[in-house]
Amino acid sequence: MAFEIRQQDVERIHRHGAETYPSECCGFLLGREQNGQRVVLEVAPIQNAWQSSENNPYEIRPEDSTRNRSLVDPKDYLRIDREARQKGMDIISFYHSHPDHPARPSEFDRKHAVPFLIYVILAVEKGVPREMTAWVLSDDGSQFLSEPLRIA
Amino acid sequence: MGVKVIIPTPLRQYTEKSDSVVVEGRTVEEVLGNLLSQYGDLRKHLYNDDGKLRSFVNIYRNDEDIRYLDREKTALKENDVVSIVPSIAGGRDQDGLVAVDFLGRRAQ
Repeated sequence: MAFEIRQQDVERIHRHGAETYPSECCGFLLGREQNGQRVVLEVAPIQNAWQSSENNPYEIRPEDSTRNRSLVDPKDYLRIDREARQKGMDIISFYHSHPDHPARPSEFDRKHAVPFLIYVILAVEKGVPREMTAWVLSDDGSQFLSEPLRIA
Repeated sequence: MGVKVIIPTPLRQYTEKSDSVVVEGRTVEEVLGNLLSQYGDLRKHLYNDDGKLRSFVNIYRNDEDIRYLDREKTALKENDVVSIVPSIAGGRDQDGLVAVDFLGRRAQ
């Protein structure tokens, strides 16, 4: 399934990744499914809640911080999902940055990925946004499949 | 009494693409039970093998996480909305990258 995003939205994600560096940024991409392809219509940046969320269900190792983890607070998910529905859109993608690391899914990304959502990963090298890739979990959850990104 | 349950996009493939479902029930437990009797494929995404709600699944009654209410015994009344909210996280790992199909294309 093709995944279409406008240049201005790509730039918004780039800016977010640069702003939060050396921490990870994260957010949702809102849009619609049209003619068998998903179209991004809006970027919804979120504050990385890895250290602030009241309820972090993931394994937290001593070395973990917002520099290598991003977490969406469920309250933010609820709020953004509600706003998207009111505008006739859906949460279709989750994006996050990998500071000083390739734009490739990590084992953590795969293990905790949910179905359907397209995972957009932005590499940020020394504060400068670099490669951006998109992935979707395979049906059996064993691997990420690359998703062609079309910049409109 | 019908309660609206909001289905997040990752789980709609198990609800015949419905973005919300109205089911009967006076507690969260009853509502989820009735939801699962309609859409059995949802079960493994909400509950673990011990029959407990998964830690990565958040259930809200209106704006409140049921963990801070009466958990699955949380009472529901007419016009309450139950939302299923998945936990979403990501991050880099230094200890190697995951298996992918290696056809990843550059965005630019």
